[in-house]
This record gives sequence, C-alpha cells and structure tokens, in this order.
Amino acid sequence: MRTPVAISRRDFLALVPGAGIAVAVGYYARGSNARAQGGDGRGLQGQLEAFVSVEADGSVRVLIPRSEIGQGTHSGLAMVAADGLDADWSSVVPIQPGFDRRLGRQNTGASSGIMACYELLRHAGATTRAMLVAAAAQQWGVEPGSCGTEPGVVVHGPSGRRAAYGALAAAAARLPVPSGVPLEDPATFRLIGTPQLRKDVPLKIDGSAVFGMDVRVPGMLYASIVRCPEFGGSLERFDATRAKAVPGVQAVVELPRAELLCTVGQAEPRDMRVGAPGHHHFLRPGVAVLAENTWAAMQGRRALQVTWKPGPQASLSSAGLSQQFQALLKAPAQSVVQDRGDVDATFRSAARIVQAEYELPLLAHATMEPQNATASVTDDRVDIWAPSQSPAAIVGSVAHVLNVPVDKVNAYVTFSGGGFGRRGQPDVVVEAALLSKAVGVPIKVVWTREDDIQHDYYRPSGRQRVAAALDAQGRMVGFRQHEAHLSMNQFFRGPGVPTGEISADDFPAFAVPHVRLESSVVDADVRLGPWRSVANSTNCFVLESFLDEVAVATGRDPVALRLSMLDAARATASNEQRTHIDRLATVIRLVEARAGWGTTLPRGRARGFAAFPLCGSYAAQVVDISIARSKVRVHRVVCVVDAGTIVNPDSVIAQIEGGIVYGLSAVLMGAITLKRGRPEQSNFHDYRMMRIGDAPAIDVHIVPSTARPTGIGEVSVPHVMPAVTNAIFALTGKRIRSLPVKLA
Amino acid sequence: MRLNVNGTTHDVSVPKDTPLLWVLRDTLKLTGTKFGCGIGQCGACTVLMDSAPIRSCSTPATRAAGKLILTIEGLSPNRSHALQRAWVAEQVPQCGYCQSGMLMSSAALLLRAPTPSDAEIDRALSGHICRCGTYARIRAAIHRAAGDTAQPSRADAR
Repeated sequence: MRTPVAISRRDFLALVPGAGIAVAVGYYARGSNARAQGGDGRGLQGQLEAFVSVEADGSVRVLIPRSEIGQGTHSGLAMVAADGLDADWSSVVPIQPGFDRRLGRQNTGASSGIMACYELLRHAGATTRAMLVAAAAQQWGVEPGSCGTEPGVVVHGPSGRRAAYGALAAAAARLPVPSGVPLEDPATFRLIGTPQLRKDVPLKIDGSAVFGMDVRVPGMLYASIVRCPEFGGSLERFDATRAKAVPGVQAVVELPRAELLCTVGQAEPRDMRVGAPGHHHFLRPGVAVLAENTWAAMQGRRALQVTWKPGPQASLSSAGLSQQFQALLKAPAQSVVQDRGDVDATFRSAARIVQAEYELPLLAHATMEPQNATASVTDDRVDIWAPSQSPAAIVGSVAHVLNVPVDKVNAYVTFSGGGFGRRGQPDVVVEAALLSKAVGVPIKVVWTREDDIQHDYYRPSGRQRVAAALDAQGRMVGFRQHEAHLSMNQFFRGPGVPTGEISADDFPAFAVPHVRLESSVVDADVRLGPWRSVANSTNCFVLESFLDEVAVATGRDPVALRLSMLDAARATASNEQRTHIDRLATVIRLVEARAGWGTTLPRGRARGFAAFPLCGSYAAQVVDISIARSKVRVHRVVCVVDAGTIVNPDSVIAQIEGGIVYGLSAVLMGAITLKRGRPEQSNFHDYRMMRIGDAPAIDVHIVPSTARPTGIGEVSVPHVMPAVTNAIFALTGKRIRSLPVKLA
Repeated sequence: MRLNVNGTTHDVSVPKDTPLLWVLRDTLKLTGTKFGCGIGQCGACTVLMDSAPIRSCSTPATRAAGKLILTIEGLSPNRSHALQRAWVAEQVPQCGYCQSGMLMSSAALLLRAPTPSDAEIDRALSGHICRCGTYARIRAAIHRAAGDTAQPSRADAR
C-alpha cells in the first residue's frame, strides 16, 4: 500500500540530472519497494518515487524506470502515466533516469517493463491530475468534484472556466499529495490501447539519438582490447612496441584480473553475489590499447603482439559437447526437476511410446550496436555511461571491482542499439572502469563486431530427449523430458544450484498426469546469458516439434491434437489453470482460422504450426514455406497473441514482427560453433542474419483483452523455429531435430 | 585532405588508411553514421558519395576527397525528407541503430528509381541488417515516400 508523500522541487530536480524545469508537481510514494530494496534508512525520508512532473510550459515529464532498447517501453509507459493524468500526448516527454534506488527496480528484461510499471504509472498520473484539479478548484472557489479535465486542461463544467495544466502547476505543487485517488475505468482510456507515435522515433531518423557508442566525455580516450580468444586461456606476454608506434596511441594497458558479479535478475547492487564459495567468474584476460580516436585504438590493437597460454579448455568443441550431451542422455539423469505420478509404470504399460531427441546450438545476441561503455573514474566519483539493461548491475559490479561504496558510482543509461538480454552483463563497463582508474582519464571501450560475436554470453546449447506414453486411445498419459545442456544458472551461481531450464508448467507437461522432467549438465567454461526468450527458445522448439511428431505418429492434425489435449486437461483443471488453458486454446483457434490452416496451398508450399505461452502471454503461429535449391523460403507468418491489456498496439505489432525475424535468423542460419576452445564465427559473413529479401509477410492479430498487461518483447521469438521445421516435415517428410536447418 | 560533408568543407589531417566512418564520427563529431561490423556486411555505416551509397567503414577517407558526402545529418534540415516523414508515419525504427544506413541507401535508391518495386528495394537494401526486424515497415515507408501509397499513417489506423 503506497502512502504518498509531498515532494519538494529540490528533491525532484535531484532525481532528474540536468533538469531545467521551472516548477514541478511530483507524485511521490513511500514505496512498497522499500522492503524489496533492503533500504538502509539513509538518504531522503522513506523511499521516494517521482515519476510525473508538469512544467510551467505545460510539458509533462515522465521518468521511465526502464531502458529503451527498441521495444517502445519508454513511450508505452509514458502513455500509461499520460492517460491517468489526461495529458495531451504531444506534451509528454519520457525521461531516462540514471540508476536511482528510489525509483525501485530498473532492470529491463523478461518482457516485463509494461507489466511491472503499469499500476505505478497509472497511480502517478492519476494523483498528479487530482492535484491539478484541486488547484484549479481552489482558484475558482468551486468544488473539485464539479471539475473535470480535457487533455492538458482542467475544466469547470457549470461555468465553462478552463485552466491549462502548466498554469496550475505552481499552485498544485503547494498542495498536499492525496492518497487513494481512484484509477480511471479502463473503458475510458484515451491513450492506452491506441497506436500513439513513439517519442524516440524522430531522434532515430535524423542521427540525433545518442547510443552508448556516441557518448563523448571531455578528455576521453578510446580503448580497443584484444582478449584471450580461447575460453579459459590466459595472457603469457605481450609486446606493445609496434602498437605504441601507431599515431594517436597513448598507452597500452594490461587488464587487471577482476571478478564479475552474478547480476542475472538482481536489482539492488548490494544483492549481487560472487556466486557459490569457490565459484568465480572473471573478466576475460586482455590487453587494451588507448588512443585519441577509435581507429587509432583499433589499429594499435592490431599491431599488438600477444602470446596466450592455453587453459584447460584448449580442446573444447561443439562436436565434443554434443557427444557429452548424448552420453548424458544415455545415463541416469543428474537431477530431477519434477516427478509426478508413476512415470515408470505408465511407460511400461503404454500402448505406444513416441520418443525423439533434439539438439540446439549456442547462439549469439548480435545486437546491431557492438558492446561499448564509457567510464570516468576519479577520487570523488565514478560515472558510467552505457547502453545498459541493468543500471544496478553497473553500479554493483563497478563498485565491487574498484572497491568503492556503491553510492559513489553513477550509472547513466543511453539508448541501446538492441539489447536482447546482452546488455545486463557488466563485463564491458568493468573493462572501462578499470582502464579509467588505471590511467586517470575517461575511457570509452569500443568492441569490434568480432569481439561482440566471440566474447558474448551465449544462449546455452543442449540436447533434449522427450518421450510420450500413449494409451490405447492415443491419449498422452505419460511424459518424460531430459535435458543435457550447458546451464546458465550454474554458470552464474556455481555448482549445487538447480540446473533444469525445463518446466512442468509448459505444455504438454502440465496437461499430463504422469510426468518426469530431468536435467544433466556439462560443466564447461562457456559464458552463457539470457538471449531473447531465454529457455523458451529451446523448450518451445523441442516441445512443439515433439507434439508435431506425436500428431503425425497418431495420424492426427497437429492443431486438433493440441486442442483436444487442452480440452481434456480442462476437465480436471483448477480455475486458474482453466483460464490459462482457455487463453492458449483461443490463440490456437484464432491462428488456425486466420492462417487458413487445413486449406489447400499451391504445390511446393506447406504450413507449420506452433503454440506456446511465455512471459505471461499466449501466442500461436503458422508459417507458410517453400524450399528451393535446399534453401527454405518463408512466405508468410501469421501470429495471434494475447498479452492482456495492450498499451500501444502498434508497438506490440512491431515487437511481434521483430521477434519473428529474430527467431528466423536463429532457425535458418544461427549457430555459434566452438573448436579448439573458441568460437569459429566472428562477423556477419559467417554468423548470418535475415535480410530484407528473406523477410516474410507477417500478419499479427492481437486478442482483445482486459486482463492485466503481460509481456511482448520476447513473446514471438520461439514459435517460428518449430513452426518452420514442422512445415519442412509437412513439405518433405524430413524431420529436422537440430538447428540451424541444413537441407543440403 | 579536404572533405565536403553535407555541404560544408572540412580540412582534416588523419592517417591515410583511416576509413571515412571514423573521420565522420570522431574527427567531425557526426555520430549519426554508425559502426556495426567494420567489413561492409551490415550497412549501418552507409553514407552517400556523389549520390551513390558507400560503406564508410571500408572506404578510406582519401577516396572521399573532392566528392560530395551526404550523411544522415544532411538528409534534411528538420526531419523533412520524404523518407524521414515516411519513417515516422510507418513507425519504422525500433532500436534505431541501423536506420541511418537504411535511410541513406533508401535515399540513393529513390534518386535513381523514384517508384521502386519490392524487388528493387530488396536489392538496394540487401547489404543491410536490421536485428530488430523492421524490414516490412522499411518497404512500406519507401513506397510511401515514393508517393505510391495513400495509406493512413499507423497512428491514424485504429
């Protein structure tokens, strides 16, 4: 329960660096985040959250506690606040704050931005509106209840008097902040649910948007770092003579050994851990060339002569990992994720068993903007600029390696040229901070594309064995899933943590009475991280391919099979489970209809289907493909999505479109393969991407809903992968069980 | 060397092998042109040289001497180029990092093919990568800028 607290102009200004505002009305709440943040009682009284301010000129500034990585969250969340405030969209300015624990969680990920901040910003907008109305009513000597608003204006119906928000702001700022202001009825939403134009788009069409790569700090040097190419290797020696001779090169510095904290999911710098005792994750060894400009730094780095010492992983290879995965699947599993009912008896008495194994490779994020960070370290303070998905990770990690209090570290978030989960890792900011500390000037670390591909935190690889026990009627009564994989959880936290990244909440496990899910891991020093849609990217491929195989094996239509299984599960489901089943069944039925599933296609074309809930939302896709000269061409993708209440439908469509293209790059082209302890790929010539000529027509249908907003950013990525391979089977009879697709 | 960028002459002194990209970004402080791959595979660094698109990451600045260089900053004074207006109407950018390059290649395309077909668009932009997957909207925006569509903008469509 939030208790609003009045805010002074000075305090509000303190939260918005560089704000030159005349007057502010802020809505502040002693947040329920106080406990979650583990606040230590220092600083301003209680926890302050200031999200909405109205200025004398009528502009409305909304602090957005998330990063804008292309997903439209800045404008979306600003729309939410503006709707409650009843502001004209043209007057609204979303503002990116730096790290500030008073704002609560600022991590961007899990497709949760709108979901997590929706209520907060509705309250902020509505409360600010109430204060403006109260100020107008006071000035007019009327009852606040007799006043209403039109966008940006308070209106007194009976007399027709009007006052613009900007003119009222100063007076409103002096009023007490009311509590319990009722939220508007969703039926009266004016902005929420409409395709308002995004505020960042104009900046992104004239070159003025500032990405991390564009940050410039006076006195800054540019750093290009050569890092140990082999996972687990170390630096033996280097010769900087030739590097220093490159014009513009100022210094050559060996990166100190530095520990990186476990930052996945952590929102509070103090909560970041070093991992289990004995488990460490270190910065990759490297040598940095510091120069007056980027080109000199890169040329200097090329001129470095470095000798690396091989480590324990000199022979690590994808082929070797694959053999280990296969061996693990033949042996008893290392751990049980879920065991329900009597799986062994069910399989022993099954009328039929369907079984298959699937294998998935490492994948790189390949954000369009290569990794970079700018750091300025002085005795008094540390300032970091980065295209980050976690300012808390910056603050915690940099404070740790520099051994300074977290309060001394300031993190500023720029636009991000793509995030996809990569920008939550603080390795790049730590490099910049260490170098700035070493030489005493601000440093911008710029990664090349080769660095970006070869020193990524990859989507884990693995192999899964799935089996279904069918009864005499062909119903699935038993289900087993065993994944042998590289575990992201173990990578970050060390041994002894749960490693299973499969879930009994997925379908079909949740709908089957006898279920056993198991996990086995290969312990290899490969950096792993959350990749857009995370474990869903592997599990959806495995499960939706497998259900297609079950359908084929039992002579049933794949869509009809899903619907009948869901229908059967519904009979014994709880209320909550039933809603879940109904929402999934609805998107399946809708995509079936909209894609013309079952209707005739021209010769040489086939369809494939997949459905999977993730991030709280529900999505189903049908793809339509052909194959020519061993190459798959995707003609059309139809996607139906239910994401609850939609803030900006055009942003949703854009994200769904984008996620589909992201998934297509992975299924058709994507693999990071390891050989001799290092990735074989290095740039876009061998880690290939979908281009405009490859892009299918995409049809998105959003299911109208008044349920709470749920995720979108990652939601459309997984389905297209099994949908494509299911379509390949329908067209050719060839079953693809490992990615990327190779037909030749 | 003397460079003409967006109509302004600059005298710059850089090592001979410096790619035009880094002269634009670091010497002239025009950061609208982006670094994506360094090997001419992604198109983010595209600028126009005498109205033709070039990958500035792989073009020595010396090759631009005496030519007219146009970057995203010079496409229009106030976001008024037909492509920029179309990019807004179609809400093309997501992260936006590839879009400077996309716009410059698209501008070059419209100069030689005022109403391009989808196939011509695909060919002209085949050297570009967009990780956010905005390709369909790019095509729609080019058609819109070419004046061959009367569709309402995405903000009008409800």
